Amino acid sequence: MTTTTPTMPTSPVALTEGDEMPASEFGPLTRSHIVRYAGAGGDFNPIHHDEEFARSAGMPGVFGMGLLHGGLLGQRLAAWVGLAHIRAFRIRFTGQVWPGDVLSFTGSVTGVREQDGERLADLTLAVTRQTGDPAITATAVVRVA
Amino acid sequence: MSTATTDITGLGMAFGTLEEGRAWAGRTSEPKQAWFPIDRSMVLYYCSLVEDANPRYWEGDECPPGLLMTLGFNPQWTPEHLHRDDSLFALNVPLPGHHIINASTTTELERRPRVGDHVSIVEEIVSVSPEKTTRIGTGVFITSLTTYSDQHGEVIARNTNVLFRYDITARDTSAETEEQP
Repeated sequence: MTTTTPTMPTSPVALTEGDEMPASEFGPLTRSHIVRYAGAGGDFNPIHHDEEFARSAGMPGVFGMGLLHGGLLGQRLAAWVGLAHIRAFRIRFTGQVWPGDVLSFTGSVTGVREQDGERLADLTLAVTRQTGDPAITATAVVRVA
Repeated sequence: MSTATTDITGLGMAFGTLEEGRAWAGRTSEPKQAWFPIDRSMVLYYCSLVEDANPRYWEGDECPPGLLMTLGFNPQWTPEHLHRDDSLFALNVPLPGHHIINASTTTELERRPRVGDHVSIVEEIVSVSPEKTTRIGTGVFITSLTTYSDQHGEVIARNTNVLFRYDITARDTSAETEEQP
């Protein structure tokens, strides 16, 4: 699967309250994605790759690491506003993502303010499963034009 | 909760009582240098996974911040003479739970990480919550603050992470908190 990613902005972008991040999807999530994250990131908690272990931990099966779809969200945020302009990024995991899931990524500007000579935008972001269940709710503070 | 003290995850978890674990609030780890400097293959495997086409990663020397959090993991096996007993500090908190799952993470970047950075990691245990029951089990939330610095002592990023350490329990929804997970 390939995704066309827009070039990351190098200058602060102009954003106003209500502006929305370009919506995007990822998936279906596969066990191969989970294994690739384990290899890339070194997270070998067996709850993510061992079905029997996952069930013993109270889960119906293996599921994706939070920072897998957290990383996907961060990539989309950076593509929207430019990595250099992200001042803070807070992720709250609100549910697991499972093999077969198609994930949707959304975000919007909740306000713009001046602080220490910079224009900062407050953002809310989300990763949502195809069922409508949220997997991540997130906030970010970014420098804007 | 089980009282067995076997680390079934293989991640280096320590075991103890709830009181012993809660007494760790405020403790700070010794600086730990990541096993590997950030290298291009790590960056490209990660970017391939999250489908990040940023040329600063593919053709430059920058590293996605999402990779920073992974640098604290030790290799699954090392030659005996190179063995280090310094897994993630939050896993060293002695507690009863046998399972872990991440609840939230907050990153503040001071500068962009780059290929060649050999990161040092210092972790502080900010708090260990009272025992709580969630939809997946009974355990505690461990909040830790990790500071990532380069080999010259320059801070790259700070990350506040909340981990839920738990054992599964028979469901009694009347005792469940609204906290995730």
